[in-house]
Amino acid sequence: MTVIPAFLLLRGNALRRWLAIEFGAWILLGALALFVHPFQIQIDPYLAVVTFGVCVIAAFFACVALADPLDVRWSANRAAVVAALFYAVAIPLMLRTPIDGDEPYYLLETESIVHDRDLDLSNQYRDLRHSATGRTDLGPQLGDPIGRRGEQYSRHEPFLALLMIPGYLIGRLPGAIAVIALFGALLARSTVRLFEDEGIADATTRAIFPFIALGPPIIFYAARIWPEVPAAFCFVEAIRGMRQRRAARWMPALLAFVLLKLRFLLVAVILVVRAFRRRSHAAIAIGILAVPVAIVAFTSGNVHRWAELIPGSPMAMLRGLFGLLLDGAAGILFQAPIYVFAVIALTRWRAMPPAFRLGISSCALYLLYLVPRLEWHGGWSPPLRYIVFLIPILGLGAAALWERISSQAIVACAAWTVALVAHGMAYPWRLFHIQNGENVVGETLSAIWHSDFSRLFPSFIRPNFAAVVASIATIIVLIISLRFRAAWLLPVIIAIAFVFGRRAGDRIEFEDTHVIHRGGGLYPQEFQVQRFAYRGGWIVKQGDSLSFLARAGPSKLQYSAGATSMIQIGRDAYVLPATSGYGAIEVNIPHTGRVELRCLSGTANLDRMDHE
Amino acid sequence: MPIGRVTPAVTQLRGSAVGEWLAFAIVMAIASYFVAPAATPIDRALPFVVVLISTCGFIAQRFPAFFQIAALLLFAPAIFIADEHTRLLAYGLVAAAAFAFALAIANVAHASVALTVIGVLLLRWIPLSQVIVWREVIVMIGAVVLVTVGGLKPAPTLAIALLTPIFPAKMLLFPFVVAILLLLPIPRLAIAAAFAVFGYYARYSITILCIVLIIAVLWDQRHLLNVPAYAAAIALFALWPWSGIVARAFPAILFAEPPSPKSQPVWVALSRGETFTIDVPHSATVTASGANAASLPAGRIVGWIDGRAADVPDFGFMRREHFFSSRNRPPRTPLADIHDYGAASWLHTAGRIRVAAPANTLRISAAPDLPPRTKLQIEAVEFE
Repeated sequence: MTVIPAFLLLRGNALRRWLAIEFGAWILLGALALFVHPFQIQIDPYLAVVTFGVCVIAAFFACVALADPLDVRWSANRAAVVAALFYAVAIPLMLRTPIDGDEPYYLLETESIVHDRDLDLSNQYRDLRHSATGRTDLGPQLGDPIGRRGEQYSRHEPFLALLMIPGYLIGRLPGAIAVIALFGALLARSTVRLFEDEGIADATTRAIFPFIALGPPIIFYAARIWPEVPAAFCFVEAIRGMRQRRAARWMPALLAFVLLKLRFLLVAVILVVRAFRRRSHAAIAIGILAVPVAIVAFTSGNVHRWAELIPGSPMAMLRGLFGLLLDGAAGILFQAPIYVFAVIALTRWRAMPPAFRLGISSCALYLLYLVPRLEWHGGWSPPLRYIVFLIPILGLGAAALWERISSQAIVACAAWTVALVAHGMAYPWRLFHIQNGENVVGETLSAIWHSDFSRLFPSFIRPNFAAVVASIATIIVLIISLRFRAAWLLPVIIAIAFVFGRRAGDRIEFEDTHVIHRGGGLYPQEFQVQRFAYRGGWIVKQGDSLSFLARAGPSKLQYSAGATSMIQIGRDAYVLPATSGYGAIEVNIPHTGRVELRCLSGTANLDRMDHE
Repeated sequence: MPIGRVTPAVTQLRGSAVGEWLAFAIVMAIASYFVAPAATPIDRALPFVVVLISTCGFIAQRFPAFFQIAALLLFAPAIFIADEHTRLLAYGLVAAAAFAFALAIANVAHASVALTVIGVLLLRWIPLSQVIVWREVIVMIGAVVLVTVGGLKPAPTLAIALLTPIFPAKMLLFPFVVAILLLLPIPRLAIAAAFAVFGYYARYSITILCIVLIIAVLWDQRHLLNVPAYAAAIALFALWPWSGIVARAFPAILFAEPPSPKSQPVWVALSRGETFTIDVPHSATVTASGANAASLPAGRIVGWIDGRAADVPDFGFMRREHFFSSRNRPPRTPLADIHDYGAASWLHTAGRIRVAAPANTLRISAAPDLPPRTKLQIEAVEFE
């Protein structure tokens, strides 16, 4: 598995030692496989093999990082080739299930360009059976522009679709993804070059490289059809070009960057302003930016409005900002923990490499507009979608701090990253999580223990108390530069969380995993577009029941019902009057512990129950 | 590090390391007490295991973060894995990885004894409630002697310690015997050959001691087998939650078959000469074992199942109290029915006998020449 990368990156004793370790690892896997049947081990063999592979790759990069520098052949090109090899392995793993989210629409655009020489997807929707997307359930997305003659365009910019044409012609869907993987490899190369340019030590680059190139979120976007990885490559090249004052590098990079996604214009504007210091130059810059804007506006239809230029409220900004940092399902802390150090690096602004400051400052406007949006978390996509392009720069910040980060924190991040990658590679469909305020870990624990563990994870999609606590703790840690030992703190946090997680909480969200549902249905439906804009709930009809842990005493049950209905909790029956919108009634929970809620008559959408 | 060369700075460093590791071990042990389920003795021993891994980290002196996070990783199976066997194997893998890493990076000359003691504690002292302290202390001393006096590496030493029977008490001398053999001025190959011949003719429980002795004496001459040997050793070490199975039921356990969901319990015990009949629609697989049959020689026919000889062993001869004195050997396809945990775990050695296309009635009879208290047990029948 890592034999070719080993020959590319290692030599001498380190190479021999690694080949022996890999050989031993395979024997170990074979031996463990022999134990599965007689010991009746219940494990998904696919997950086991993928996890093994990810662990071996992690061990390989640990070996590369810790080996004698004389035994390491390290260069940006070699790193890129190694990344390309792993991305090539990731493609079939990601294609275990059909492509999802915006991916099939980009591919439909490619198919339309290749077969029809246009961007009208009407005929593609009519003939999905012959599409390489593997999806026959596709239809126009909400807000897709319609042409004057009824042409059905996609809301997505066509530049990515154009880039994928060679790959598509060679290998259809896998070929199209290979184009993205190629950009991933180029990104790996550019990232290493950027680190070299900024004076990051080789040893540090070798140590942090696998986190960036083969860790989340890059790895998940490098083997799927999203514009984020090509955009990250363009962004890094633009930053490098500006730092080196090479217009021939940054200008085309910036042009491609904006062509890939119009929202990147908010980044490009600041970069261009910083590149040109004279008025005449700024005018040229604006002219340059106007070109892609015009191209994108012309080709993707008018899906953006002027109203989008007004950022949201301060509260929405705080929610999005802390959400991007701390949210259990969509935040850096849980989905790509190594970049937490980049956030800490922000507090040491003056000591950071110039490229880091340039990259981060150029994103200020972008983030200002991103964080107040309801869709700050990326919507139906793998986590951290909207900041993927920024990841190499965040990585640079983490690299600048690397020597000062405790090894415990690095190993903890590595372990969590390995788990994230193994999970995402084995079950790629779980990278897409409905925005219900839960996350995979919380749901898994809730399903095992039938208790609300999701409440312990900060959620800014459905804000909870943990989110408030985590935000305050983050502010304190950042302000006073608090240093703590991860290996001491984590066991205590885990133990406390585990003890309290199994107890009844103050709030019951009825659609959550910990609630045992006997009948009824999810509201809104699972794949509702922009689900996060709704108040979730569970619809119960006569005869349906729910079982959950709750605290004794008075509680307020929030619900909506078209007509009067009746429920039973414990021995008491409650009438739920008809509501317009949502209403609430006072209920009494007879005892702390498992409670049964039964719908006696009518139909009601049960939102949540709060202990008072 | 030799004491003569320890500088004050180093002493101070190691002193602070002791305090730091001690505090870490205490914090982790308390946390793991709250996290571990109470389902099995292995789960309940999680604080003990955490302390052992912390000790590995202290002894290794390098990469402390790896050991601290490895100890923390033990929480993951406790919290996330509901299935008992899967959870225990996950514990096993984490602890084995930490132990193997400690062995790989530690200064072997000084850490061997300490790591061997930790390994023996992990393999033999769980469950704590079933430890017979004085016997286990002798085994521990034997292991230390093997490492220090015999010059044996920790891996083969642990194999010797794992397989050393504590019943009867005289077998506690086994590690000391191996140490003496290692010191004798006789070529290792000759010792191995002699024990190979002896083991071939000996009973099963002695044969496995001969095999482990051969592995120990030839350990330093493995050359090309270095990687496979250590990989296999780590794989077996990962089974410490069932170390008794590794000690007494290996490799028979690899051929064990889990009970079929179609199997119907029968639970009939036949004394000598007794007969029992079952109506069967088609061919059947009978799960049978002996009771009070541990002293019968291997291959002894204890009954007949529709004309087929049933040479099944005693169902519990792999219990550590009976194993060494037993003359049985495991059946070819044993039932994968594991009892107890850790060093006390044992394989229920019922054999599965397939009877092809019998008449409508399956006739089972116990041999007429069985000893008075010995019985043929028909545990279950699986209709096909």
